[in-house]
Amino acid sequence: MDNSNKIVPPHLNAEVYRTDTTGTSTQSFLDYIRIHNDGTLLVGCSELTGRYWNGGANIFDKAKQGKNVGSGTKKCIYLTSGTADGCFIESSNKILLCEDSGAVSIWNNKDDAWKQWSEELSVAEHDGGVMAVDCLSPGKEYVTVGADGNVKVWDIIDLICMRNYIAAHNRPIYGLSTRPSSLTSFATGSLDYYITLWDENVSKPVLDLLKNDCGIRCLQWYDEEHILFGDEAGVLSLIDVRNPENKIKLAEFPAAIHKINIQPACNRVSVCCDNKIVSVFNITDDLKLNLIYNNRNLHSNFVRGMAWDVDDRSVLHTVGWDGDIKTHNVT
Amino acid sequence: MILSPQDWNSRVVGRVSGYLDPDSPSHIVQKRHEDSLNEELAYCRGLGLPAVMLSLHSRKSNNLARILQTYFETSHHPTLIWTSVPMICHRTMRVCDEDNSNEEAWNEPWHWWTKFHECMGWDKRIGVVLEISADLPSKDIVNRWLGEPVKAIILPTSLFHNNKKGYPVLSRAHQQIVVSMVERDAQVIVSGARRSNIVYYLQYLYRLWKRRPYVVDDPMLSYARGWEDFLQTPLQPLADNLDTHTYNVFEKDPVKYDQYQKAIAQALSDLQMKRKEEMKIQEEDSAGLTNVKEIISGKNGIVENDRPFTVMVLGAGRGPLVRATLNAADITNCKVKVIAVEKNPCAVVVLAAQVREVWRDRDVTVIPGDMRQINLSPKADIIVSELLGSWGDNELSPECLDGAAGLLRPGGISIPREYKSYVAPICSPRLWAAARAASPGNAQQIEKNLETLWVVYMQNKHNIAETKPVFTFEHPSEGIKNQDGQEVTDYRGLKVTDNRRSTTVTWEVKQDNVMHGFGGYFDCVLYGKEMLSIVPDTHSPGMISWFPVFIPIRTPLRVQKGDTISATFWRCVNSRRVWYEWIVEVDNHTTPLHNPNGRSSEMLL
Repeated sequence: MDNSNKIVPPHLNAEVYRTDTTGTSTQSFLDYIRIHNDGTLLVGCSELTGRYWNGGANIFDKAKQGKNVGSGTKKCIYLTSGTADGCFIESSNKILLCEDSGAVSIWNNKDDAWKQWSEELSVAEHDGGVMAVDCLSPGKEYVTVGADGNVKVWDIIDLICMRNYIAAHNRPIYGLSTRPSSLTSFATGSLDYYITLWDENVSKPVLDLLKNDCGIRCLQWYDEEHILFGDEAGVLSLIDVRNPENKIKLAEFPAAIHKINIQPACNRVSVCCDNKIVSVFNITDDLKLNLIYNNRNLHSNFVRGMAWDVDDRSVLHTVGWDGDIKTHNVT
Repeated sequence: MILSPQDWNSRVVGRVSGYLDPDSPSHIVQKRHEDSLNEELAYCRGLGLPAVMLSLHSRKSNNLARILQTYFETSHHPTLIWTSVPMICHRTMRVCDEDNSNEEAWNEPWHWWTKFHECMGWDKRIGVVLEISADLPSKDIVNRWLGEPVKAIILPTSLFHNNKKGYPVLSRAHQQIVVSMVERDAQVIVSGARRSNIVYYLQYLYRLWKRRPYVVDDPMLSYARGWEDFLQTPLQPLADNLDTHTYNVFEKDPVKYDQYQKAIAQALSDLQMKRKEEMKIQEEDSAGLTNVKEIISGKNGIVENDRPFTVMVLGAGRGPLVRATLNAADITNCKVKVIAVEKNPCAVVVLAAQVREVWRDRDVTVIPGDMRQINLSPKADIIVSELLGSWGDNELSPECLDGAAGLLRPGGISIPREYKSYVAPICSPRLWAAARAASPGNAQQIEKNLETLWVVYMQNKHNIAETKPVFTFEHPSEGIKNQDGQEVTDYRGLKVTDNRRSTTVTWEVKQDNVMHGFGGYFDCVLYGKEMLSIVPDTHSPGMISWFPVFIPIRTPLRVQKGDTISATFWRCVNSRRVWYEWIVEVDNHTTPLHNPNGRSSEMLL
């Protein structure tokens, strides 16, 4: 650090802090990572500490990974609020971002010389942060869930909310997963302890699948009948939607489970909790878990997002609040 | 460091993270979240925030309440807790959709709140923040919320719709709710997606805020401003002498003295009529008699006709009723002799001065002394008094007037002629907590405070059931009779009256609620059809002299729809003092007897 030529009287320390805005460049807390089939990465981040609580997203080719993607670099998209989730819309030139302000926005990359991302549409209809997005019908219909407890199904061509489940849950909804090979059915998991099954064609919930003993943090369909979910207590469980009362506890973690990411082709699931650990399990045919990978020290802060590589099936990319993207070789 | 400490201390409300769930059935989660919650609360304390907002999601809040109690115990800094609850529980609504009665869904969040409030011992530092829903519940349920200490309301932006010019506005029903909440000093929080420019919301809400009932339009409102839900101990004008400022306040009432004046005028004209009729009868009777007798009786008649009516003002204070009597005499065009009896030496000075200076050509006599002990003749045709308290007889009007009954001619008129006290069971955690904390001291004092009548302009309360009469007193009163059926008289020849009373009042509960005590009111027939009333349904418009009373019960009672509240009130009298006792039963629960033998509150004779 260089010496400053400006001498601040010590008793004016607070005043200087109040008026000086130079030192407030956004520190990136990376929240999620998505990988497009063509190898493009989408990484979203939010400013969690500081004055502005803004966020942003970076979209770049996988090949460039490791170069200038950490904290402090210029982002492709700047947002005025944090972002908790986002996804590509079919091509890698179009993305949907969920903002903490309650807005859902679509951005695209004009294929011109500047390669600039611009906001195409943005609609603020969630009354709380938008927590997750998932795809019902690629390029057409997407579902979002929010901290307001609402579930919305969007026609993203005009960004019109086609189905609005108001107060779907009593508390923030964290988990969302569309049923494999279904264009209309999806499940949500909320801090109100419930996992609920929905169908876009029905104006009411199809079924409350389960009432847990604590909040649901994340969930994902394993196959047509099974849902894996992680909760506040750090328990990873499995339910069969044909017999949802019967909850099978698969594994227990020392902190609340933040996200799970299933790699269907290899029957593997990666788990990250409210800690620095990344673990990967193999799912056996009789639906048991075997720990095959465990990393405790690659990240220096909470791990937040995970994505399986599209080319090399044994590679897992993770992001965390340390601002880094890390690559794990799961063998 | 960006905000100044003053801002942190007065303008910022902390919000506890929404994901925290210290009452989770999972012990791991419970412990973890308890730690996080304590950390956040400690941070709020570190910032010196005036209030912390958290939300309730179910009836399970024991652990949360425990954590907050600990926080209160260990914190020297007075922090308010704002508890946010939705107006409706959608999950309950979904369940009871089938049987088409979604009353449960509206009740459910209220149960979350009241259960939590009960766990916190109805602490007055706990307030509720109500999230207004798109659909609105029945009036009963809104009114019940109005009885709770609502600190703020949350208006989701989704409630607003755009008007023709594109500005966000609320529906009429929502406007009403906002206005009635704001009237009770609730703040407004607009939350949700930014569907319009924030400035527009602010402008619109400011317009709504200005629409609160304009205080100048209603004398009661402007008079009571600042006194809302402020507890006062009832005056004891009999035992203590009022000071001149108190007189000054009570003389300001335009409506009360106008009613008195009308009543006195009516009484005077009735007396005139009666006298004329009597004269006619006398003339007819004497028609056949000798001239001498005729002359004599005629003379007597003229004398009788000319004799001014004697009006005694008992407890004349600084003389407003004397003035009313003189006015009434002018209106009815008859002569009056006014005798003003007053026991307060300070007031007597003022009265005497007025007699010397203002009323020197009128027949006004001031008699200093206690109306119960003086003996005057001639006897009065009319006695006028204003001895009523907020609960009617609670300033010992019956005892005073019975003691003064000897001053009234047989067949004379007493103004007021009759008064009744009324009660309604109410829900008001705020009043209850205020009564308990009225004098912070030992447990004994707290108990006393909850066995005392409080005079208060009640605003933050909700009536659980309708207002019903309790005690009735009439003047001149009936004497008691002995076993032989004869009226008992005392050494002065006055009728001995019995002003003990006991009444049982019952109500049926129409809605789940918590009962904290009673609102007490009275009405009074002055004379003929002239009334005074502070009973909410019949309140004399513009009359400001009396605030109602709040009669607490020692432990709030939870009442359920369909329950019967049965309350018994006693008015007990001995030679030195008067006191009330009361007991409340709700189905199988009963409170202990309140104020036995007048141990906590009494009125001295």
